[in-house]
Amino acid sequence: MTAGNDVLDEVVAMLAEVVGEDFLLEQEVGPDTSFNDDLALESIEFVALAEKLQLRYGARIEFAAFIAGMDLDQIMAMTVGDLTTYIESRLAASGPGDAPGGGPGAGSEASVPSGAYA
Amino acid sequence: MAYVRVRGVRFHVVDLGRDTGRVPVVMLHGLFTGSAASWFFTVAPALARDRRVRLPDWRGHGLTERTTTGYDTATMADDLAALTADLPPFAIAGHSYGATVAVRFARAHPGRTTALALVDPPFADIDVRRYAVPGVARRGAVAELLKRTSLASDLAAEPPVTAAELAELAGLPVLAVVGTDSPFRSAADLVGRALPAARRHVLSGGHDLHITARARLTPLLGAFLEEAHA
Repeated sequence: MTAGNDVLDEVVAMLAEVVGEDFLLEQEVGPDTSFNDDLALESIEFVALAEKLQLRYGARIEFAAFIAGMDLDQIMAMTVGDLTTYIESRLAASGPGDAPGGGPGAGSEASVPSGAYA
Repeated sequence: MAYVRVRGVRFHVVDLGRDTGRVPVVMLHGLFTGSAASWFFTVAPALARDRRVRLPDWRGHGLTERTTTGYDTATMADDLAALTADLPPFAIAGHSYGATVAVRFARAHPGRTTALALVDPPFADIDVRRYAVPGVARRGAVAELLKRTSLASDLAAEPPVTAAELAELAGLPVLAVVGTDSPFRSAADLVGRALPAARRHVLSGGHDLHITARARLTPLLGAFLEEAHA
């Protein structure tokens, strides 16, 4: 599950960029953390997170397609784990050569250096 | 793109989908609580399956810089022109004040707009401010907009969209969608009088149809875009 933890770590790091480190320090963010109820993420902050994900993972993920298939209640109830599960499934589908953590810069279509979220 | 500086202002713009040969659509949000997220979490993802979709945050909204002035439709239509300068002619879907700006943009920039979808446009003869300004606006971004910018006075000074003005758009495919319980429901009648060829729909719901009537509005806009560009 190393890859999974990598994705979770990256999502948490991006969240910190969106809402601020101080805010995130106040609570443990895990797979069960919900964006709306637990993090009180504003909708535009969620958009900013989605843009960071797209930048990081490139065409391997399609956040818009991911939420197009959900109703609004599902989007409102989304947890960090729902998101990382989606990302992991897409990364797995894109083949081992594209997997993250496969070495410096491996498979990164994103214009962001791989260490940007470290 | 994510952030772009045009006209001296740092704007946030979300691009979804990809070029497929279909006409792109630019989706414009309403004032105060509106932002790119209004469309991002509702109708935009479905439309982005087969076309390019652009969602700007208006000045003072979402992640775009809050300017002290410039909330009149003429300035915002010029903002829109700058934020879409790289696009081929495009369709517009505008909610609320976004629909008003869309009309003003289409008139000011003939040839740039291919179709106009007006979602609960505030064209009815009522005091827009009374409805548009949220009651709970003592704190947060909305309060800042009201306290520190010219938005409220710009709104008050804004000439309402008239039938004569709409009639100038004859030839452009137009769709008007209003809510059964919206204070702007009669806007559909105004559009119908001015543009008899316009498509009109009344959906169950209030002003925020993109949220409450998302499941109905999404295929309606998708079908309109297909028809308008067939």
